[in-house]
Amino acid sequence: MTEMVVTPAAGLVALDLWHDTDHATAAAELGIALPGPGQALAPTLAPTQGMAQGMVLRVAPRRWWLDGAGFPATVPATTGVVTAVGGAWNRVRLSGAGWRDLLMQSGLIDAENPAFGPGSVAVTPLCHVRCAVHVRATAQCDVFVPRSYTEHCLSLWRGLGWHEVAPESGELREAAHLS
Amino acid sequence: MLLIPCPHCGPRNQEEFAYERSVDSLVRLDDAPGVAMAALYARANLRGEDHEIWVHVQGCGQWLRLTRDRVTHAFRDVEAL
Amino acid sequence: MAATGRSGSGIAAQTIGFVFDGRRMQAQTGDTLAAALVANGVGLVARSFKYHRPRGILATGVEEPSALVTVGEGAHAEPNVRASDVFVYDGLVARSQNAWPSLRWDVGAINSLAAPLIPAGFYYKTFFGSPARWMLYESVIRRAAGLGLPPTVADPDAYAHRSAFCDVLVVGAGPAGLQAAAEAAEAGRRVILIEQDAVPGGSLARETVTIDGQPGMAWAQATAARVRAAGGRVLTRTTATGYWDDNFVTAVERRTEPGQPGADIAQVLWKLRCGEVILATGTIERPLVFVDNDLPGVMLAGAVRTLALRHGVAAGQRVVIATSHDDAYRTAFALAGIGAQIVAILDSRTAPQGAIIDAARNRFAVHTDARPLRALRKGMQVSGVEALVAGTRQRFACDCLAMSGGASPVLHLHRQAGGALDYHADRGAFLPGAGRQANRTAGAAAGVHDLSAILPQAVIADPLGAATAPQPGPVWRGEAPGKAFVDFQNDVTTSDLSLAQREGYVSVEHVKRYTTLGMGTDQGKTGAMVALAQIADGRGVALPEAGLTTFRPPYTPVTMGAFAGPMHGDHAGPIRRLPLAAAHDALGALWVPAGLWFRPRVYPHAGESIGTASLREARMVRASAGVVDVSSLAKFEIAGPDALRVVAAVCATPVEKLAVGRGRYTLMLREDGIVMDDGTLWRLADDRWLLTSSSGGAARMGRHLSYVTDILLDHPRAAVVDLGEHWAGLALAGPRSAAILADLTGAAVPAHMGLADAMIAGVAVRILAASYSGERAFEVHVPAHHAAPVFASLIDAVRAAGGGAFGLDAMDHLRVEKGHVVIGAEADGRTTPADLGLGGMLRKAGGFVGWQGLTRPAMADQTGRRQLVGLTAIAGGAINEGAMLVVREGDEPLGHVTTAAPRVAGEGSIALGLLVDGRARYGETLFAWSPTRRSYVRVSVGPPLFYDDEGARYRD
Repeated sequence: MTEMVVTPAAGLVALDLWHDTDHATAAAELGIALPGPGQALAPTLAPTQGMAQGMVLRVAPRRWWLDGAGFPATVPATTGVVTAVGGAWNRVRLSGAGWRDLLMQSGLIDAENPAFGPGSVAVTPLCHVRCAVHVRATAQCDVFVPRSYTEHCLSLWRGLGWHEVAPESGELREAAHLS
Repeated sequence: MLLIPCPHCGPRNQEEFAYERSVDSLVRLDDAPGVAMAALYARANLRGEDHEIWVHVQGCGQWLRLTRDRVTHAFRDVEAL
Repeated sequence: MAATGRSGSGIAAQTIGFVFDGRRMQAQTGDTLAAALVANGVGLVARSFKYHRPRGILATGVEEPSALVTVGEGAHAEPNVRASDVFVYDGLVARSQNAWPSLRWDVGAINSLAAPLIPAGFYYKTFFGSPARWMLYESVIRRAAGLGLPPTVADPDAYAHRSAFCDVLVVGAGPAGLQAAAEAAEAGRRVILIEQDAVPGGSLARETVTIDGQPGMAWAQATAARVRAAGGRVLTRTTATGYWDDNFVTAVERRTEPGQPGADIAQVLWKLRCGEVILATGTIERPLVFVDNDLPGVMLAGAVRTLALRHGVAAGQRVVIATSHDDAYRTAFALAGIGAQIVAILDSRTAPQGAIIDAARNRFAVHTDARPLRALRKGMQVSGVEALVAGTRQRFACDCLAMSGGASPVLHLHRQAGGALDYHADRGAFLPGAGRQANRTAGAAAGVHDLSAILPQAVIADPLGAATAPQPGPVWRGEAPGKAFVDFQNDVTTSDLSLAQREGYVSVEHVKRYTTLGMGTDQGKTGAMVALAQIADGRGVALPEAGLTTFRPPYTPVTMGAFAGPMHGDHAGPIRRLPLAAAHDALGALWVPAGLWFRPRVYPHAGESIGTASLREARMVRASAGVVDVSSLAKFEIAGPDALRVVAAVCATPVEKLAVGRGRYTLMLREDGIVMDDGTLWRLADDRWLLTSSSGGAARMGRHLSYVTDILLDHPRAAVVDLGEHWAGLALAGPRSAAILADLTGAAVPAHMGLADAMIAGVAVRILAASYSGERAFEVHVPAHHAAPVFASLIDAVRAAGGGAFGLDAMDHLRVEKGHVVIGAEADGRTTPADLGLGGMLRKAGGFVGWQGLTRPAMADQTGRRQLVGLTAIAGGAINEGAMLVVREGDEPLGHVTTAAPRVAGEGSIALGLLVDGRARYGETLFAWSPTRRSYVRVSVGPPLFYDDEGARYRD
């Protein structure tokens, strides 16, 4: 299987913590998990704690992406700040064991390393475009592609034998603004 | 192409990074004009180690200070800024 | 070389057809073109670069300097292919090159007769004078001396790039490489083994050895299979072309042969990041130096042996072998084994010893202290050799002369990696010294030739005994008159080297450039060491003292398409599409590239020119209203308790007193005081700011903000978030814009430079009241995935009001009339705020990036600086962008036109320009002179403002 499903990452929110904010304290305060470098985690710290659903991705030393629903809309100014960024990104979900090969043909990170497995996150150029990769499963990963470059990347990946499959909701694809 | 140890992402290829400047050409906002202009325009470029500021601009955005041998390009040290 | 027919090579092969110079021939699968040509009795394959001398096959590897051919037809034609580096496929078409009208009757060969007149440095000595004369010479030289012609149509092949990481990269699948790869893979390491040949085996292809009971090539296949079975990756037909910093190796994999159409991907450029690199790259045999050593039929002895043992082809029926070491003796046995006659073995050594010498003496006529002086020629082919045997001249008739002047370890990658070389005088060769990266050299490339030393655990059975280290051939001291070649591809002879030396070119780097030694596509792989020995001898120094030229990547020529990979056409630079691209298409937009973005330039009506359409759109904005897509603008949110510190450091204008809900125009400077970018700064909340800046400078501004935050301010409690792509931006401008917007949002519109949140078409938007056109105007910001309904509503509303969409050209006309600057045009990397008339905007107290730079006398003193002015064409004619501003045609320019535009309000041509002491020249008359566009327009100089001086139209 070599399938791509493109949807807007509409709900994506950036959480920035201050340089001197302790991550563990902030995680407890916000009630969400804050994964370490190169990692993604489900947001729930404990079954009793927090309402958020989805995924938290570490994309920078002091930045996490909150991808889902129920995340805090604001955070205390002493801790950090949240900013909606979802209009900027499309999510390309690659289903098929060949996603590693696709990444190796598009960029220069060691995606073939078994250590780069489910739960891994890498921000790196693919097709000369800075993208974020989130490994979801052995045979599936999400690539967050800047909206303006999406068609550029998709057309190169089509050339590598990946074909696009419509998302369950057609409106989503329209919102991704793909011609 | 150099392999640069990003303190956040681990080793990544040079093409993901941008060179900013040598540490000795850093201009602080409160530097006197004479000091600032000397830092920008009157610098030495000696054989030996250089302390350089780079940024992982195509990756996590981390700024780093690399200690690099100007002859062999070998990195001795990296520090997150 | 009358050889035809095959002896049993033991390989089951199929017969396939190919064409050389129009002649249909047959080959066997697995044949190189070189092997197939020899098998078909083709001796003459090419004409040499400079003298058009007849040339044949010299070698059987990538080092072949002479037998360059064009393979393939039409768009698939690939010039300068080494006949030894293309495997014949059914239907292959090859052509000789650099010969006219034919290979046999080449008019250019007259150069050969004129050879005494074309010595080293001929071009430098003959063609000098003005550059204009050089242009003339060059076209003549290029026609006379050259290689194959490039195809004139686009390359139809597809190329891919592929990265891979490994613990161990092994370059070369000869015995040493195979052994190293198998060991590493079976120890659980990630291994990549690359081999430029189509099959593994390397030197085993020219040996009759058995390893652990298997024939050498079968052992190679089995060992490669072991590497694969242990999880390793084996890439054949793949050449390591460059060794870069930090164990980064590039390699080119050929998935189709040169000229072969039809495959999905023709070549793959591999980018390999390796923990450790093992270079098992073997050796390249050297020629001997004697007169006419370039004749077809004079070949490297190892190549002759490869043809015999790998391809079952005898390069000749009566063969003389000339050598300086043991290895060529093996060629004698191999040839004899397929029925060729060994006329003589000429060994330059006086008393060679060893088992193989003894064995040869029993079967062949072995002459010691014997070396060739001159190859004898019959037609286009060698017919014999005149040799000096123990001081006496003797002639031997032959149809093939197999020579060996030693061998050079292939150390190109080792040197590219920064490794040292150690000279071994006994071998006349450099061996790898200390490496600078995590690499080591193994096998023959490291000077180890005995198989039992390379494969210590294996049982080796070689009927000819263990291989020994090669020794160099004798230095040529002009013992016979004529041309003795050291660089076959570039036609460099020993006389050229002597001449260079006599003329004072001592350094080997100078000799190289003067004679073109080693500057061909083969980079002197076969002859460079021979030439160095000659140069050292001429200077009376040891070889290392003569020096060595640089080993530069690529190791073998790389097709440009492999470098480009898939990044060509629309992908040569990625195209950035606006979120509303489809909607603009529906409106009939004509697109224009702006950086990587494609933006609507105009929306022409049927039959309308671009100029007419853009002026119509601009007048529409002045009359009613228009909408322009400004989504590509850079937008940053800066938020947090310390956000003001960041904003104050980046923006050179006052910021602290900006009220929440208000914005203002601002400038961002470089450290030297020059304008980096401009934009608007908005205070969204007490500790939250929005900064917009130019589309083209977005990446630079993002990095600058990050630098200021993380480096200069040492991590304040503030985050900078790049929202350039998050927000689509739609600018609504014109006298009707406020009414339209109020109607759409059902709310009062913000005052000029105010902002408000609102709803349009059910979507939450942010409205910024800023004007770039001089009219009352608003930017509507909406998250990009919700932009479509908002844009549709705006377009419907402006159309109902008599307006419509407008493009970049109209926007440019409107802003020129108002004197607004553009980064890259007016702010061109040399202008200060004061140059642009914006000096009064700056914060007097400083404290922003660039304040120190502005204090420099040359910046602070306005005298003599180029300042922004407005220009109006006086007597008709259009001002040209880029035109010089002069007092008289031919004068030194006083400035230049930065942007030209038609008047929107009124008629005629206006422009913005940068002019020395411009503000003191208001009222003067100058000429906008563009000799390249043959334009000379009289202009009057004035302030950079042509419309609504008081700014009444954009205020509330």
